[in-house]
Amino acid sequence: MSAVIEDSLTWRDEALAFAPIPIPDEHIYSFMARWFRLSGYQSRKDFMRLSVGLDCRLLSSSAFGRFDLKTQHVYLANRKEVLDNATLFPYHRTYLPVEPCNRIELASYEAESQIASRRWWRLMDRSLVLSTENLRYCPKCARFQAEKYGFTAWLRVHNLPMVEACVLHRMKLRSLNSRNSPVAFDNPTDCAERFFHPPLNPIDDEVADRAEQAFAERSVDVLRAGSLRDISGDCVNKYWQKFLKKECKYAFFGVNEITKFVIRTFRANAKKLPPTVARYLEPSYVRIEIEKIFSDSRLPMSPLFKPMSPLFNIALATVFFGKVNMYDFLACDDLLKPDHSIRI
Amino acid sequence: MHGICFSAVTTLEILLAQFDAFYSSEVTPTLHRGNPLIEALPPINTDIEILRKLTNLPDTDRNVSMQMPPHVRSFEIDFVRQIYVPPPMAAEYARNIDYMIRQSYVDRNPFDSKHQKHLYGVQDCAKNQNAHHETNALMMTLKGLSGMGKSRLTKAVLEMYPQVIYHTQYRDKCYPAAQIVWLSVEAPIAGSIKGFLLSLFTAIDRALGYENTLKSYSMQAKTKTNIDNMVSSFVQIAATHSLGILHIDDIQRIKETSTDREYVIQTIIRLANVSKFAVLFSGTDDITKVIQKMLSEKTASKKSFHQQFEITRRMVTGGYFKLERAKDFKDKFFSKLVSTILKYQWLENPLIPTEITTKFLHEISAGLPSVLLLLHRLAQREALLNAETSLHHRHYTMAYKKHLRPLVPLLKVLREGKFDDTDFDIDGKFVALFSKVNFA
Repeated sequence: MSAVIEDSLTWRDEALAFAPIPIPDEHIYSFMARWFRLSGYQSRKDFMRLSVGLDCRLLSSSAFGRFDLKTQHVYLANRKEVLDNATLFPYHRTYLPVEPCNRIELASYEAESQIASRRWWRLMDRSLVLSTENLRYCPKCARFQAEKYGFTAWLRVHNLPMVEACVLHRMKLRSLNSRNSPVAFDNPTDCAERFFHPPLNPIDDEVADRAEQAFAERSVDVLRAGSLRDISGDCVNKYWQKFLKKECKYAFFGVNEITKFVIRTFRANAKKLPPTVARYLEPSYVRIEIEKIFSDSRLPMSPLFKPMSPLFNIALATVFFGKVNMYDFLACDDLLKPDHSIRI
Repeated sequence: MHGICFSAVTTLEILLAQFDAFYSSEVTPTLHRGNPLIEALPPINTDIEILRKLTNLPDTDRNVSMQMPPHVRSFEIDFVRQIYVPPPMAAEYARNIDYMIRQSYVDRNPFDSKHQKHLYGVQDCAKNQNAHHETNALMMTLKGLSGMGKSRLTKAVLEMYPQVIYHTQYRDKCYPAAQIVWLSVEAPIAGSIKGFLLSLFTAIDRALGYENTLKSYSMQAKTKTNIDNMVSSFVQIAATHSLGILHIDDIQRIKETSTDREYVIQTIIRLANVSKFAVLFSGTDDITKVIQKMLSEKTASKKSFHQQFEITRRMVTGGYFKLERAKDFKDKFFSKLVSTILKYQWLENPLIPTEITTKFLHEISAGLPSVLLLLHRLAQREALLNAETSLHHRHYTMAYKKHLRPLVPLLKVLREGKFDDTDFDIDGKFVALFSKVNFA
């Protein structure tokens, strides 16, 4: 009997008989919370033992190392797929050196390397990959989800570092957890709004409108650029050119000017960045990357507008404005085939 | 972008599944189409098909059995235990159960957002006793004397359906779920609500194969003392696993306690209301007494009248069936049963089914099928052990006097027909209630 079949038989005995269906861009924590709710188990610890196989109460990074989306009869996805499609890892991968990225991905494939790779999982700590603290959601998205699916979910796009508004509705995101502690599956305060999302009242609508207006005034161009499907297309280039020409005035400058500008901006925004991300935005990295881009660019087109570098554009947008359109970030094919050649 | 699967997860590897769901929309009523929970059920049977499936006549080879020495052959007689001839109302009863199961799934399409909303809110509904749910769960009652074959009939009807159907994919949508079509439990002894809930968890564990594993719901429930938590847990499990029908056998047991009696029935109704599964009660004539006692105790207030009325009404929303005892040897079912069992004899000279024999067997068994089958076994065993080659009426009489002695006075009462007509006397009670309650 092959190892695969043996393994599948083993876990089929252990796995639960059902699982909910994840919705697009759903955060793994959201999926787990829904699963726990539907399972009927009263103890979060028991549920974690059955679903992940560890005596833990929260989906920690060490638990994630063993995570597979499996039920007794259907194998949904492996850890690699979950990592890429249900965590913020694709976003953070942009800022990480190649080696830790590879190690993390390797760890998600190989069971025996879990212990050895624990330090890399620590690197991908809870706030980075799983982001269980201060989960945010957009009330309008939640209302849409409640109508379409019958439940609401936490999306990755709302939980990117420094993202404060919904790119779809241009609305300020609400923070789910006021206790500033990991969100608990069974905590009614944390989960109530997920399951019984009340319709927006007039005050909420007013607040939403004001937030939308303020957000739109501040970063309309980013939104326009980001709201288009293909971030590497001509239209996007046009918007970016216009935006950078207007705001940055560095669009047609050479490599040195751009490098200086980027480094200066990074330094100015360093405090806003999560420490783990900021570590990888050292000037030396930035200079190397930008020079690399310029070296094979086809001038006079600016390297920033190259179709090959959507991640770079998104990274810049994140740093400059603290906002990014994760929908396009996810829709980008490059993300599905990790390409570490483009990295700041 | 909004397909129901992991975004960008395109390779859903479906391994294998025992009891895989097979969806047949062609023979499904239009109203039920597009609902995997209904389409995965076995096709709707005709009355003849139902009766054919319910009938169980074991295959025996008389020639082989007759070669055996009598003391070994006496064990062959146990084939009689397997004989099952469905009563005349069985087809209608099975159709009603089928209707209730399918009807319970109509509002529970897993791809419907309303149902999903219900799934996530079901625990809160149970905890808060929230009435924001549609009360369309059907309930049916089957009553009959002990030994009439209520449990066996119900079990045979339920076993026409797979207890658990494993879904993996419906059309182009991924749907990993285990659908529990039916559960059968016994009513709690002394009306213990906690015992009842524990038996429900155990039944779920058995159905899903969770017994003696870490996944066991009953193991978890045993550590919880809070009944509300157990109720909310059960309604969630029943809703998640799309429980179709819950069979509660020997419902007359709950009359044994006076304090929790009403609470148990109301809890069952609450569970069914919230989780939207159908309920099937079966028991002896004491069901009548349970309800009549409740009615007689509380006749003073309008509120109690409405409570009792609701309970009684809900218990028969899906139908009310009674297994009648054959009062005459000319009863078609009884005659058919006699002619059937007399085909299963292991003596050289078998007893021939005649009118006299049928009359004799009806008299001695008081028309109860279980007593008839028991006597048929014991009489043959008596004949074989006495080294006789023919089966006679006297062997039945011997077995009756020897082995059924405790039952003799009870069967005598039945023969006199004293307890045959204790049916629901609700109309009379309600007339009395209407005269007492001031509705102004």
